[in-house]
Amino acid sequence: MERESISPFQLFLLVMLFELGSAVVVPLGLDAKQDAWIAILLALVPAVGLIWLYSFLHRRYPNRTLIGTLQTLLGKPTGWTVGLLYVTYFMYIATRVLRDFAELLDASFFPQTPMMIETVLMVFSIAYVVSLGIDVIAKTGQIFACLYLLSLLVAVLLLLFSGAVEMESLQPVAEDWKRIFEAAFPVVYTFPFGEMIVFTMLFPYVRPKSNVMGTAIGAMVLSGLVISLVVATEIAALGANIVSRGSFPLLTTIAKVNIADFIQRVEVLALLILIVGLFFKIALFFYAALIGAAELFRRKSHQPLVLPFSIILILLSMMIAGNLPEHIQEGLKAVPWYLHLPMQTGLPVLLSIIALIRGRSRKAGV
Amino acid sequence: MRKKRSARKGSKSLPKQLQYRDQDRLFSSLEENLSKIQQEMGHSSDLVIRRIEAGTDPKHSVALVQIEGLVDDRRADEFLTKSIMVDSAPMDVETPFYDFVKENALSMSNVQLVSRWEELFHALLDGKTLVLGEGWPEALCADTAGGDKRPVTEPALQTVIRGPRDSFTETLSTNLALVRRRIKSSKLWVQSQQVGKMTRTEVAVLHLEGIADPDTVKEVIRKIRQINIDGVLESGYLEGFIQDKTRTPFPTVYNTERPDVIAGGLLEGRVAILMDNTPVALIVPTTFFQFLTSVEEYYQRWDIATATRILRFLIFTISLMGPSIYVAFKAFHPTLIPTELMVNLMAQREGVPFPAIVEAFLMEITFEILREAGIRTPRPLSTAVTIVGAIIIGETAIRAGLVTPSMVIVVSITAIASFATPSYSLANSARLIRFGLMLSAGLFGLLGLTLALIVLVAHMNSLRSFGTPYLIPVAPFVPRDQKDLFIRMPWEALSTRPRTARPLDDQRIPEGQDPEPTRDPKEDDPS
Repeated sequence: MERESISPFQLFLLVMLFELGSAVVVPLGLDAKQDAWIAILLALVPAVGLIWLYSFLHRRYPNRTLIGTLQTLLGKPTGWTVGLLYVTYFMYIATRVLRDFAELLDASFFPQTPMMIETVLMVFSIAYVVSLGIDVIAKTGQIFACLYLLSLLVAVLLLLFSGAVEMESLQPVAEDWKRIFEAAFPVVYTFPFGEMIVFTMLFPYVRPKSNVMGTAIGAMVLSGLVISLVVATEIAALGANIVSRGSFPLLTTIAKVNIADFIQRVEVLALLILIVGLFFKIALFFYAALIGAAELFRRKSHQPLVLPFSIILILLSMMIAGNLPEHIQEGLKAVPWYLHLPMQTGLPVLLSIIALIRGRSRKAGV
Repeated sequence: MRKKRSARKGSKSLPKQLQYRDQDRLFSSLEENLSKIQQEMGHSSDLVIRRIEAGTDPKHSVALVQIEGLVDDRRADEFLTKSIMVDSAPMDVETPFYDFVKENALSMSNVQLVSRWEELFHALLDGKTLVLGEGWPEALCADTAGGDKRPVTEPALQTVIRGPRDSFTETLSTNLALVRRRIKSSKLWVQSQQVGKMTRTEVAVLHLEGIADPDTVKEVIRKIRQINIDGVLESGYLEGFIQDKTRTPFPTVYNTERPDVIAGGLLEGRVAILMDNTPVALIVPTTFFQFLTSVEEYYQRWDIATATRILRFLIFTISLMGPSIYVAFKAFHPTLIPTELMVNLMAQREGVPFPAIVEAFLMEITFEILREAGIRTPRPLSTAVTIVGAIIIGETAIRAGLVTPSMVIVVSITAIASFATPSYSLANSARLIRFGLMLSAGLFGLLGLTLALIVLVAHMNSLRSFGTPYLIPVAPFVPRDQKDLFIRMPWEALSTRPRTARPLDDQRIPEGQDPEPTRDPKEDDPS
């Protein structure tokens, strides 16, 4: 493990940036139609339990990353293999987010730029930042989180003041609970909340260790509220139907801002939110994969891995799907069930049970 | 006299050697000594040797050695008359002439004895006056350093409206005095050392004992001691050697020519480095935001200072990103510009043969050429440069349809913003980075610009100056130091020293210093 640290405050902002990251730009929970915002809040409840689980493991092994914990609890060969699975999982999610990013950018702001160029630019910028270590990622994330939250706040406020928001679009409230429930689980629960699994790689770096769980849960709940608010604003401005069909509803919503012909064309805020949010989301997944791999292969530093992993990231993001619908379909139908649920919930629950039994048997044994 | 010398030799058991070595002692023969000096100095024409016959009976051969121009003639003459050309009345036969002169001279201030060649040449080249005599085992050496000095003048770079008007000169002793005069405390410690094998330039490290972080002081001195070079001519040499990271466009050592800035830095617990032969002093540890503040903000009212400070952040942003934002919007995102403005801008582009990015590069490079010419042109020719610049660039380029007027406006505002940046070194970094940002904005629009900014901030976050993060107190966030960052709180609220320099003693202003209304004397009056 590298000798660097992040402060609880930085952790808080990183979690916010990470959670909001792609969640505010894509239509989230829209299966619940105008009640999408309720679905998000509903998914938040078990997600808090999930973070509690992660921090339980962290408190048991405060100086180990997920990879280290796995090897301790499952034994060397099994733990190592599962660790490799996790590294692959992190890389795969980074790839998915990267593809999301390139597709969105291509569809909205850069129709003429080849997607490859956007991907390569993004990955090389991320590679540079990630190679500087978690300390720099956290400090940079802190600065851009402030910028990001400010942009989001300004965007929402402008929407409210421009009169584009119609509360009728949100009615009837809580129309069909079954539908809300189906929207929340597993999709919203796993994305973005379950993706917090990536922070199990970063918890050991937090110093002072006073209240990692409180910070993480606080940041997640706050970002859940913000996402819910943003989605509600989008629905109120556009109507659930349009939001669910668009690929980048935040942009469409922000485009409606026009205050007395004086403040208009503020879509640049959406662009900023898109780039900054997805940058840090990919960077964190990528970094987790890198330090995980470095730990598995007993490297002192993750830096030599940055370049090969970047190239894998670029190529993979081009290969994982032939086109946007395929990409989205996989993301909504296959990934939550077969990847997110076992990796985010299944394995950590298993690990916690083993940790509990171990702790008990150790106590009993002594 | 002979006897005495041999006795000394005997006691230290120094065998007389024929080869010259720096460590060797002086010869006893005056002629041998003088010819050795002349030989070592290559018979340089500014070496002055005056032979004097001193004493009345018997006459004694004495020689005065000094270097012309380094010596204050008046002080040298004074030394000579007081030490050697004394009235021989009290001189009795029993006391040998050398002992008499030595006693007499050493009672004066700034007189030392040198017995080794190395010391002798160092003293001579430091501007001291040497007196050698026939049969003397040592040379008398008086500090008569002088020569022409530039007087203390107004600062040329960091000017203020309100505030002291003195600035450093090329003389270290003057500069040290300028700082001492501001901080009259025994806690202001000065540690000097010489840097450069040939130049032996005096470098002084200043800190306030009990406030400055002792580790930083040690580290500064260690780093300066490690410098092994033939010569240092300006503090830029030192800066290059003591900075934490070379491969960065950002300055990580703050430089200033203002003694009040140095004094202010010392009071915050920083370490100052002053060097002979340059008016530019250094101060560490440095943060990025130091370069964006002007000392005048501490002399003005706090609300005005705050407004100026915010303006300055805006100025820096413009000087960094002005042309790149313009290019990104115009070339990539015309839909993001309000319609009427866009129509206006597009109409200007009618007939302009270059894409926006080429136009921006053309104008920026032209401006940089003009600017460089402005600095290097001999005074009498500078009007010509101004006229050519203003007419050709301002008027004709637009009329010829080569560039758009809006681009000229953007480049001009950027240029002015660049001049308004309070630190010249940071303004230079911004100039360099501006071209990088323009390129990424021109090739990849706002995506390129945003990513370049993230990379830039990450790079700045990876910088440290003597262990202090470059972007402190923003990242890592130090709530306590926000009072003197984007806003400059009133003086009574600036009660603690910034964490930046890790001062030993945090407290700057004790509690209960808030200004209160003056009591009306009439109210106190019991009658």
